[in-house]
Amino acid sequence: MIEFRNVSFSYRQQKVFDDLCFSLDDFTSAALLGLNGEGKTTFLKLLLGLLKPEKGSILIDDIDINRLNEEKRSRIVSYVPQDIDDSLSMPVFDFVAMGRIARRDFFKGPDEKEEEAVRSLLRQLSCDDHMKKDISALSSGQRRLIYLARAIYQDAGILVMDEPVSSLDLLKQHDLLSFLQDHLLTENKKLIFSIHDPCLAYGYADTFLFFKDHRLFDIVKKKDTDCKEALSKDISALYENKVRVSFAGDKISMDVLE
Amino acid sequence: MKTSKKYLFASLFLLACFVLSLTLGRYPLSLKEIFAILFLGQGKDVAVNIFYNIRLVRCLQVVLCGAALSLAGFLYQSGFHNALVSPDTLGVSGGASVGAIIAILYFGGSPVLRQVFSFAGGILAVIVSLLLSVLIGRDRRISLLLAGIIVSALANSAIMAFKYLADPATQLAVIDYWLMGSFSLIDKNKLLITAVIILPCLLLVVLFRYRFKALLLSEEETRALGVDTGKLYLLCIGVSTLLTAASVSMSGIVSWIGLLAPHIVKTVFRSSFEETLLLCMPIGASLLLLSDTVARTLTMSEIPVSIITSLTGAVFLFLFLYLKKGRP
Repeated sequence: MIEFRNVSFSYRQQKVFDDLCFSLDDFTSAALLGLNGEGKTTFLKLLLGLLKPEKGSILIDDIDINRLNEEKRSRIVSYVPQDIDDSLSMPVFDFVAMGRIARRDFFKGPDEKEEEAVRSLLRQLSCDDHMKKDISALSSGQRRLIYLARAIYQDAGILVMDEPVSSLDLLKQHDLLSFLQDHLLTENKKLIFSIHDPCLAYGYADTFLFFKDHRLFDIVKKKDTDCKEALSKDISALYENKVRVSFAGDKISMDVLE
Repeated sequence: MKTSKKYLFASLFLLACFVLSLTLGRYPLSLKEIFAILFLGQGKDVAVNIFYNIRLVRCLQVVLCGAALSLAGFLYQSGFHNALVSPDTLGVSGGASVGAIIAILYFGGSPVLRQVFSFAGGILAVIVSLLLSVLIGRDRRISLLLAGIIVSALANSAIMAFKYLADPATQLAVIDYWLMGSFSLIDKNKLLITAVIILPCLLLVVLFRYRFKALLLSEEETRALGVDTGKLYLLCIGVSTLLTAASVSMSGIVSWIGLLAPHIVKTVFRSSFEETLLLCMPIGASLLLLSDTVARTLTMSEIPVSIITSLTGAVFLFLFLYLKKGRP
């Protein structure tokens, strides 16, 4: 269970969240929807403990994440950032193995067992032939997969991803999200991610969090009976009624109104 | 090249430079003589004396300082994500210079006092940089760089002021000579003190090399991976400062080695982080041995070593950039 208790946060003068309260239970994959600059990234960073709330507390399974040290927190949440550093130069294996840096002794590097584990993980993502390559030699889409591999390798309970599909082509977006869907089920993990495309979100998430005007204004679950109506209403609200949302079977379709 | 081959090559290169440096000097020693002194205990008194009390001590000191400066430079370049920062980025050399100058001008300039003052000055400068960076805030890497620039500027201003006040006939030359770096005044005691500070620091970095690798990532990523970045950065800065201050306080400012050695290792050996960390020590030591050998054999009287290191540094930097052209 994820719980925000009266959380306030601001960057210098700019208030992002004021007294944010909610709890989220019983989900596998939660999608954050909202326009740019509405606080999705800030929300995720608060959840990761990378930003500290000015007021209030953030609990995951009743543990205040800001009372944990980095090492303990890294077992609860792992992170795929939105911005990927393209100046970084490091072999892919070394990079993915960093996922468990905090679990190793200070003076130990990854051993052969870990090498096998990383290899099989990369194989699942069909990028095991990049294992010895330098990460700077990969395309941005491949690099994103490697970042994902590192976060998965970290083996935390909740995977937090900031716009994981924004730099991928259409096919890879679906590949990545369906891979994640399988991974969450087989490994019994949870995922929280931000995404712009409501159609993709509807296809792969079971819970939807809507952000507007620096507020989390609604949480919709797929299993709710009025899910489709609620989603139509919330998506229209996000885009200030400039889009029309309709459902065709199990798919959302959207039209931009002139 | 395989990893083991790289290490072998670097070790052999260091050994070759070390032996070469032992033989050359105002009083040349042949390999035969050195062998006789070392293993048979034979040789002319003057040769034995020069070998044990001067040449060997000096070469060992050069090796220590070369390795220390290179490793500190490499740590800073990794930590700051900037290939052009050097070990004195946070003002350690500037602080050490001010300390040494104060000892020369106002405390009679005994060698021991000079070392203590410059060591303390170097450490103090870095502490001031750290405090300033906290006040500046923002991104930690950028605020540290800015604070380092501020402290170095302050130190430079102080150095110039002290030089202006110094007696041109006696003190000014001493100061200038110190600022240019030299290993000519090294003795056994200095070597011992340097070794006691530098060797544990080198060992610590080597042992923790896998952890230091996290310096390459962004701060948020590193924290999300479960690493206490505050402690990691502090450890990196602390160790690099000790390494640099120990080196500078004994032999004055030796420029460029900390910048040059890691770059040469990266360009020549195409190494990973751990390899570069290990290789930059023997390579830095070798470069400084060669530079010091040139400094004391090129002319009748010894010239300051930074003249050599700056010259080779400039040439190598150009070559490095030129060779890197067209590579990602």
